[in-house]
Amino acid sequence: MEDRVLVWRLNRGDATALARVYEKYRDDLLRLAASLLRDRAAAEDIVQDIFVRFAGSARTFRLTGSLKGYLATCAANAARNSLKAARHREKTGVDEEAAGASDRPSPERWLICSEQFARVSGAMGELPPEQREVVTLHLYGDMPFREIAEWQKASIKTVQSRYRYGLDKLRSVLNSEMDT
Amino acid sequence: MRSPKETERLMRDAPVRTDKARDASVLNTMQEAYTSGAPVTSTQRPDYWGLVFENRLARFAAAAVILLSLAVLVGQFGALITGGNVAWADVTQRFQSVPFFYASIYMKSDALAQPQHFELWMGKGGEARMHVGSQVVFGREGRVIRAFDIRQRREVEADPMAADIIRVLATPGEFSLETLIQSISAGKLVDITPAMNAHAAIGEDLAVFDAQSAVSPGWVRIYALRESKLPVGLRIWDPAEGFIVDALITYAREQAAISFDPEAFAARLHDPASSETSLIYLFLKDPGGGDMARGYLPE
Repeated sequence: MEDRVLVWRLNRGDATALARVYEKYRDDLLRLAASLLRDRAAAEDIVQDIFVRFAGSARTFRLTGSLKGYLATCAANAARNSLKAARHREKTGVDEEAAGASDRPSPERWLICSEQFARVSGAMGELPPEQREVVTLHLYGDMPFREIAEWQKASIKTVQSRYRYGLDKLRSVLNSEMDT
Repeated sequence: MRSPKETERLMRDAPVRTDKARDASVLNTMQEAYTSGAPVTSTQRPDYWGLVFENRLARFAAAAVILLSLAVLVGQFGALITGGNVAWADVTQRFQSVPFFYASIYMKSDALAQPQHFELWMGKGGEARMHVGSQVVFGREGRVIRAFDIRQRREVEADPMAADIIRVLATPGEFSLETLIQSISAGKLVDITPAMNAHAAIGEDLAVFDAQSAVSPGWVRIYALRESKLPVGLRIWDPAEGFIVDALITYAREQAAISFDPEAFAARLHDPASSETSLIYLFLKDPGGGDMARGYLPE
């Protein structure tokens, strides 16, 4: 409901609603992008870009589902593209400058990770990409499995299995860390 | 070994912080992008309710709550709906002695939106408890005391709209019925006494009163029982957007003091025997004697 009101206000020229959207979804989008990419600077770039793009289209933006789901999907798409580009660069061996683009230091460190998030994010890196996507979109994007299934072009059962296996793996990694 | 639920909670609750300067910089870039976007068309017709709503959504919710709070003031409300004057100071005084009421409020931002649901329990001395989304919010004398997210089972910052409603409940000076309706109509309503709408009631035992905006098609409608003068429903309607507030009020004997006690609530928050549903209604008793929620076994 609040999101519909925020979009309604933005459609009518109320720029103050931007701050609320930003404040409301910043942390989860940063967590989501950082977990998917395991590259803080690249995650920050992606999230900033999503917010700015959203702001640029906010006057005509039409909300058909959940705003958080929409922003989370944007982040996941951007993360996918970023990873694909990185893999391509690795394969072709080009080019160091571009490859290093996401690793270059940002003007200020935006995301300050807690020890807990660093551990969680590290554990997330142990998951295959599909499982990582499902877990992050479900936990940080609050997306139902049905929507994730549409996005991944997979069946709901497959997505639910990915989530279950992903969570089991995370449990195992985090528990073993706890034991050591 | 962590359970799957604990693992999910660990993931969800993993805290992150952000650099304030970078936040300001990103927000600034967003503002610039927004400003450089397509301008809002100037051919839109004036929408006074929309303009009010834009800035005062919480006040619509508050409007429903305040109007509903009148329900317990049988005599006062009787005077009000028959066109008599009632001082808000008297209403406030009487309101402080109200033992208990419960309001269930549905609000939609437009005709296609999913409704947002608020539940409000008001007790003696300005004690309030609200349920909105996954939150249970406790308030007293206009201030949020504590708020809890039931899904995450932790204390959180209160939902801004719930906090605003709790605030306005304790600021009657600001929210007399008169100022309330004026605020809804952006100060355009001169005659603010709700008028009988005979066409909206089919039964003789129901009285319907409207406060109609003179400058827009929006209105506030109050459904009241003719004999007791008790209002049983309220609707705020804006036909331009389909914005709607629907409220239902029930009257009952007061709830036990513990039901407004956030400390007692917090002590049970992590109780694995309490389901999410049972936490939302923790310590509340259904006046009919039924269970408010299953899944919790009281001591």
